[in-house]
Amino acid sequence: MKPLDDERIARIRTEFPMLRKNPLMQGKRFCYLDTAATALKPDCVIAAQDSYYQTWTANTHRGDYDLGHEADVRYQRARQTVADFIGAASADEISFTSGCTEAINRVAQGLFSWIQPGDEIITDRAEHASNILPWFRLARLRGAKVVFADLDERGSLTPEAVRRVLTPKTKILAFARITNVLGSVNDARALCALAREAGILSLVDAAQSVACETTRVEEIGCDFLCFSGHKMYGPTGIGVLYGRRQALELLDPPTVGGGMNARFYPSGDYTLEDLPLRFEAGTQNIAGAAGLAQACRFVEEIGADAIGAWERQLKQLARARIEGAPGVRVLNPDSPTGILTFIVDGVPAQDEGTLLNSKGICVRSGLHCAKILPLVPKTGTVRASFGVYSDRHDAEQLAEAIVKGGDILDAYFA
Amino acid sequence: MPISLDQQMMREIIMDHYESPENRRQPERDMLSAHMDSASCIDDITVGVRLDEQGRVADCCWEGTCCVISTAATSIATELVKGKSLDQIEALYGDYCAMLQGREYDPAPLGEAVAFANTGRQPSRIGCATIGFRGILSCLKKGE
Ligand SMILES: Cc1ncc(COP(=O)(O)O)c(C=O)c1O
Repeated sequence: MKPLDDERIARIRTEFPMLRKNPLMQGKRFCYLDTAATALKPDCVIAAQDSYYQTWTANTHRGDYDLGHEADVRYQRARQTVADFIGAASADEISFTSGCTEAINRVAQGLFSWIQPGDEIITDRAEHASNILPWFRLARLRGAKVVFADLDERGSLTPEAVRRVLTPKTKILAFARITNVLGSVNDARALCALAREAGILSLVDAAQSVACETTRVEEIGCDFLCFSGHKMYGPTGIGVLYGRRQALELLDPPTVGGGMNARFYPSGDYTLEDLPLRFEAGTQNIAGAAGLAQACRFVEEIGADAIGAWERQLKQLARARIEGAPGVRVLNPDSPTGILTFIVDGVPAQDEGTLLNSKGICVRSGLHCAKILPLVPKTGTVRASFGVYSDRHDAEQLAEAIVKGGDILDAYFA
Repeated sequence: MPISLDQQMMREIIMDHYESPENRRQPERDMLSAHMDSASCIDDITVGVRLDEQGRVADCCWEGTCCVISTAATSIATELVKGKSLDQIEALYGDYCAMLQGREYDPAPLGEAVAFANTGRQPSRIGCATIGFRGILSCLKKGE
């Protein structure tokens, strides 16, 4: 894959209406560094999503007319595109969700009858709330237990740490490929291999990784993999649950209704549709699926690995410039991702975030939905995250604003 | 006093209250109290209020972790409400919110709180400037 360079990025930037239409924020150059929260969307994704409303509106698996058929074909094609994007063996292993959060919940809720009192679920403290609370709830409802494996000094989960808490009662291992606060990377292959060897289910939260590295579920060897469209340049309100066929068969569909049943009877009995339709009760986000499929093509054309390498380069550029500035502390200097997490001594993260806002820079401050991560101070952290449209100016604008610092009240008075 | 405040004075009021906040102590058990936190930010405070026989605020305090704006605004709010009734505090809060949202307001009852007149320039921070007041009002509603 061709590495990205300044020239290519400049061209990519022209494809993003948010960048074309918002040259300024707070009177300063608009500098969007919150891609880890949600990515901006390129024209092609917006057009693909819009095309459903403009030219092929119809409900899926219901119509006898041409448009209904076309909607079916396009929706199924979107599923196939997603399957190819993550290297799934079959489109039947892909079900659409509203996002990563719903995908993880679909698994946790779906395992309600499978999990038994006393069973254990292993995760870690660097996970997003969306990969902890579904397990907390499952554990509470079923008398099971969530066990946190230790993180290493970089905030990563290692197979050794998992091994230390693995017991005969362990049933599930759930972790992120890339964590959202520190951008630490977990060796998903090794962790899933361990899970397989132990005979337990593995779930990979790929929300932060699908847009910045090639994902191959067969090579990772996971049972489930979840992600959102909106963090990979796709629309909001659409996400994906991938599951190996045998793993998906364990799940009870948490939502029932139209489209997911094969037959039902006055007696109260019903039979389920085949995979993956049984997980898609009710009319689905058809436009979103079309947008997401286009986002997969967008990322593939540029190359997820090339995007990741570019983001790392910008992160290191900004890091090198801010490290050593008085009071500035980078919490994840070596995490190999486009996420730069830092604090400024004596400045609560939110106030730093507002100061940066006043300089045109969008970052995220606070606890980032990871409220039990030991490395994060109570006053929060500031996270800047790069994307495929981020350029050198963005890294420099950020670094300059951090280094220059200034009175945080300048945001209100200057 | 407040109308003539210049920007330097406003900054100083905010920084003074941030660096040495008023009434920052753990609410006592017998106080009306409210825990205020938010999913989206670091603010996590507990506000306590004690009423006198006439239902006016006899004592008000707070404790917790929060940012510069919420620390200073909560410090000022806990001072401002002392001796006031729920109605008076609601009226005062109405003026305060109007100020934050750039609407017309009466600065007279706001005292040092007028230092936050510019906070609306950073709309995402209006929640910080009001967290203390919202906590106090929620205590008072519990006391009704
Ligand atoms: C690692 C991780 N997991 C899960 C999520 C939840 O994603 P969504 O809000 O799109 O469902 C996020 C989003 O912030 C995330 O970063």
